[in-house]
Amino acid sequence: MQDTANLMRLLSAIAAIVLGSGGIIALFYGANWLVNYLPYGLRSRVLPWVYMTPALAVLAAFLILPTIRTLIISFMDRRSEAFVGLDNYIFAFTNSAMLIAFRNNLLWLVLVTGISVSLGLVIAVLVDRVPYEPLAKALIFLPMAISFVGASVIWRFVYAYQPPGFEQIGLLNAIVVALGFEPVGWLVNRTVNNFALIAIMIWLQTGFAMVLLSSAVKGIPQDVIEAARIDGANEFQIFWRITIPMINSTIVVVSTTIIVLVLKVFDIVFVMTGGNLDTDVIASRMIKEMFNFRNFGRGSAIAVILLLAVIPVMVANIRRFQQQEANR
Amino acid sequence: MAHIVFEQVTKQYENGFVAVKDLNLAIEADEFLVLVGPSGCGKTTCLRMLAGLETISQGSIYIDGQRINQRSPRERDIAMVFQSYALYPHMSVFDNMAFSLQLQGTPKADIQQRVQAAATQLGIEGLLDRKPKQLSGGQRQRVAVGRAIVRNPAAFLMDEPLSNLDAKLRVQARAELSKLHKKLGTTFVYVTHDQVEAMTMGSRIAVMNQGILQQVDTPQNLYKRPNNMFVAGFMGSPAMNFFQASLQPAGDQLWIEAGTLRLPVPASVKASLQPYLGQPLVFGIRPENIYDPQFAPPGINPVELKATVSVVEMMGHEVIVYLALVDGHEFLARIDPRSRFQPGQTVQVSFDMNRFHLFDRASEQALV
Repeated sequence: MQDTANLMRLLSAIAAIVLGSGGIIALFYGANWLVNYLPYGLRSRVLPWVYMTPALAVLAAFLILPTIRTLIISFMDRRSEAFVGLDNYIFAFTNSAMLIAFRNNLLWLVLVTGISVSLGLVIAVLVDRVPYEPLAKALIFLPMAISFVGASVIWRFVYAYQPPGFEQIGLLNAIVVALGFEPVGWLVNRTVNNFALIAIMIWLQTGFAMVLLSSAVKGIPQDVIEAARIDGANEFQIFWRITIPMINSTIVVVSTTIIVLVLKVFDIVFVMTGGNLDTDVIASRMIKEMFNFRNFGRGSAIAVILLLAVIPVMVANIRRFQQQEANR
Repeated sequence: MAHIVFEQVTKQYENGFVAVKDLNLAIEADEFLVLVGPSGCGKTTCLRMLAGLETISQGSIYIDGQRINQRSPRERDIAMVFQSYALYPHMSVFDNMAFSLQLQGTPKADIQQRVQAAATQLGIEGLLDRKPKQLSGGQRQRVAVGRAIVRNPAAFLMDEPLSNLDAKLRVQARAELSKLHKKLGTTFVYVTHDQVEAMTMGSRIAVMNQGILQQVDTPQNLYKRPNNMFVAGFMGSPAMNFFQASLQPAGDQLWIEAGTLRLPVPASVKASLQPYLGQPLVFGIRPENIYDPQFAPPGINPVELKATVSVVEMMGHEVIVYLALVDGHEFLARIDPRSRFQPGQTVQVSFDMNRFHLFDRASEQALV
């Protein structure tokens, strides 16, 4: 019985792949065929739309409509029955738990972006000069392949706490105790728990920053570095006055990508502390309001705030990209 | 001005490849020395060792008597112009030229004045606010030179600085660099694979091949008296013609016998060639010393022989003719444009036997 069920499952998976991709091919092929019956002058004007319409439809159904709906719900009460004006937004900006979440998110933004980009940059420049570069890069990049939840599970062990006198199974506390100090409750202690969580994100994102920046560093012509050396620059001056300005656009792209990622951070907090003990961030707060407290109005308002926070970063990124294209 | 000495300098890379072998070369202060050779001959490596961009495996390099092997590029007081120009793309032309002065901590007003002066000298004073990518190839090349001259260094190193320019600009830039050298009176070390650049610009030329220095001399001497077959074949375009030959006596005359060729040796050099009788030699003659007898100038020592024309290249001011002897040996002649040689014709050509070269076939060295 079990075997047949598995077989059926496999068959339906294959059918889904074939029908899915085949259907899309058929759709485009058919549309193209139909367009060919149009008068010639019209054809070239209609054709782009024929190809774009399916994508636009999917985008509208799964992205644009839900966004509009979220926006509407954010002005309604917890069961989306009555219009409440800006109440949900006033709550979001005055509630003490929300303010802590905002403060934490700001902390995440500054520390994760700042440290992972600068660390990534330093590593990118340094590994460029070591003979076993691929190995070093692979090791630093490896965390990227781990999901946020997986990474959180790993770091729960690193941060694990046993009362004094018991054997410490957490790596960090084992070191602290071995050095003769009292064990620290990394995730419980309100002065360190946010930083403990932020460290995980830095560990995950440094590899990403390093890989992109490293390829940018490699794109700097060797001649230019040598010219600077002959012009009398030492390695430090080359780094600040040649390397950084020349890979500036990559630094901006990496930073904005990480900023967007950090604004959305949720999984790490959810797995490690559940947002307790002052570790909530905007996204985890949103989930709580939405699904734990079943207050759709407040949850949606927070979602809208998050969306608005991301927009300037995206605009900056797109501007930057357009400038770069124009400069080509 | 710097006096530069290479003393038994060898460069061996980690993979065992020897790029430069046992180089001894003294470059006078205020000299324009051209390092020339085919690609991969080690000329650029020499320059990079002098600049401090490459370590020296063995031997020493001295600048003004000081051994500089262990000095970093910044401590050597040299400027370099790269083949790619290597301008800083994110800096304006002004900043490109000012960069080295800024690093030295030169006062701002001083930098302004020196950059301005160099820019005026090179005719790029209108471009100082531009970025490198807004410049043409010729303008970039000037900026690269400008970046070198604002520093007022002890020596200028140039690594094929003209090879990215189009033919017309290159001729112009050649003359400008020569003028610049006269004006500055500083040591120039110039690397090129182009023997025309070497001949036109160098006060002396060092010819290298496979990491070994072949000959150092003035352009005239190098052309007139090449040390060996490599130098003879490398300098001059089209290249010198070579024929396998030997010296044979007949009566009181000495003959160069090369296949079907039989050429009389002029009496003036007869005595000095006596020791090489019967040995395997190579006879060399430059294309411009072969004439269409109709247009041969007076005062040469012509020896006429028969050859078949295969290709005629009309250059305007001269004609390059590809010829073949009866035995099939091919050679080139550079003759008067009025000549009527046609492909397929069998014609008379005359060799100027006052200007020929003889080399030992085994060692490829020139005979006295």
